[in-house]
Amino acid sequence: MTVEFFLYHAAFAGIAVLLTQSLNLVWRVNRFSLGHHGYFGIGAYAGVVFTRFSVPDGKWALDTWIDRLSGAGLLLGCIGSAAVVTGFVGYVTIRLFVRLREDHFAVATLVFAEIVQNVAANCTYVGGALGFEAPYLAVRNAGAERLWYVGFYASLGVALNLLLYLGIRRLDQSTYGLYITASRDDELAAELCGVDVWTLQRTVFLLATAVAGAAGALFLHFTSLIVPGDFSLINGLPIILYVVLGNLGPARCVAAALGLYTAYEIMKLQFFGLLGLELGRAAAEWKEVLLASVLIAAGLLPALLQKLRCPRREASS
Amino acid sequence: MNGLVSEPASAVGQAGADVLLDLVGVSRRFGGLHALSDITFRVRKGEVVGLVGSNGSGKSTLFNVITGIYAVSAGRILFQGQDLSGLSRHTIARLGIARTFQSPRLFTGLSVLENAVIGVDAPYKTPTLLNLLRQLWIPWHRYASAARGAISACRLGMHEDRNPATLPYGERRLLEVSRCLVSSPSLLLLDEPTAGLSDEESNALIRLLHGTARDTGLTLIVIDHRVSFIRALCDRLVVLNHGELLEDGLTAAVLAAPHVIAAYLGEEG
Ligand SMILES: Nc1ncnc2c1ncn2[C@@H]1O[C@H](COP(=O)(O)OP(=O)(O)OP(=O)(O)O)[C@@H](O)[C@H]1O
Ligand SMILES: [Mg+2]
Repeated sequence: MTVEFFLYHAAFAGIAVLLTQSLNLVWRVNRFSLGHHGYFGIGAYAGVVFTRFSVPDGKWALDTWIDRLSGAGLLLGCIGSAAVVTGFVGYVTIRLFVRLREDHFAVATLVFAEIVQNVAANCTYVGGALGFEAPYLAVRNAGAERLWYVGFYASLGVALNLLLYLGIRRLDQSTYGLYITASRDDELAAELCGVDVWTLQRTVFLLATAVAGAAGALFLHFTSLIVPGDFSLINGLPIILYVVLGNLGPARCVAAALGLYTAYEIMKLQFFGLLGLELGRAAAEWKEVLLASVLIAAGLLPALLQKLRCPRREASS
Repeated sequence: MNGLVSEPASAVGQAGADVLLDLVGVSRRFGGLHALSDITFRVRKGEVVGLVGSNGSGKSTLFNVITGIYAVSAGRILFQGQDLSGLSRHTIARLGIARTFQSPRLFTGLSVLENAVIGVDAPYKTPTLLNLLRQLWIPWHRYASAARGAISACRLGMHEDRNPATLPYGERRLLEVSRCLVSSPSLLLLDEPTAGLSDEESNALIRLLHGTARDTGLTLIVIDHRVSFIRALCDRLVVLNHGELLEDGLTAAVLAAPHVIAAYLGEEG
């Protein structure tokens, strides 16, 4: 029971960390996207289309090993194609937003994500507002197999995150890592050093949205039921919070995501245990307010620290 | 324009094939302000040109239009015969035009060495997906040797790993110069390189620039307020006054011309 509970959350955290790592990369090239959850949604719905095409009757037999292996292959294909589709959409959108900088870009991506959610809600092919139920492809989420199910998705999440993390480390050790930092510090100076900053931003955005798309397809098959509301700003907000708290460090943002996710789950448990079922549920419903206050606190923290530090410096000098 | 003084320079300008930079009637307005009006002059390969003028005369603006930060309001800028209008900044830079800024613009998130590596004319400086996948396997240290050469030429070798924000002002300027030299540009634009430098440091900079110009045929345009520095470094002077070309000629002649003294040098004392 506890192992299963742990793995269940590990799988969810894995998806959140994939989103965090990729959004972090986008922010590092001075593109403050607030619509990453929209690309997450596009990936999930691209996964829906892929699944409907490859499993038309919505049932995948899991009787033999062959069934299971081909199901796993199908799942990987689904994740891969969702990544490709979402990366393409990401590339097209950033090209459309070419003239939008800073907060204008942030608002444009936010609106874009809102549109994605609305289109999904009105498109019956992908389930509409009622949502879409995906068939179990490699492992069944039932009975004795539940443990394997959550374990399978948790390890898939870990594997994808590890790949991504190592990829980003490689990137940071190449000249492109230097270009990313340089263009973040001073875009104009970087351009006058011959760095094509706009292409850098486009490419990074393409890759990051592809990762968000992959995370969406993973989410689809792990939860096996998605509704448009899963891709709302409220669910995208924690990711933004993790990136802000991680202060744009590739490792720090992972730590922030894992730490905050765990803290939040523990808190929920505590509430359930201490306050009883009703109050615990109420606490869970206040999640948004809680997140918003942490976000505001995170925004104010540097200013506060500065305030606290200044008098001390004056005193010492 | 004073005919006597401008004679040698325009003779120089006629040498067609040798022309590196050709400004034809370049103007730039900011609203109602004419920051540059109808500037025309040519710079030959290997020349060291001083660009002088009082504060607000349009010197930095001229650098900004050459490097593509601002578009020209009228006129054309040709570099090696190619019209620069409409080209992106990084394209202009990669044609071989490097510059420093009036107040140094370094990358404070990078070390001294890494700053210089940004200048290296690496292959794949346009990060398309394909280029990115290729470059992923090449650590930036591969490009560090050229950068090391440039920073040690500016005597910054011992600061390799330092954050440039912690360097004294003069050394930050030198780092910016070395970041430019790393790419072996054909045209180097220096905006007040000696501001904040000690006499000893400016002399070292003169030696370095002379040496580089001799070895690589580097062409230089230098904005500076220090007459001694200009006199020691430049063969030729272009004088701007309220956005207009006041004078263009050999250094000694221009510095002696009464109307130049009146418009510019006079106020310096
Ligand atoms: N982006 C801009 N917007 C509006 N006006 C500008 C802009 N850039 C420059 N100017 C104006 O153009 C004129 C020329 O400025 P510029 O910086 O080229 O002078 P400068 O010769 O470099 O002076 P200094 O010796 O002080 O550096 C000034 O009046 C300046 O205020
Ligand atoms: Mg200036």
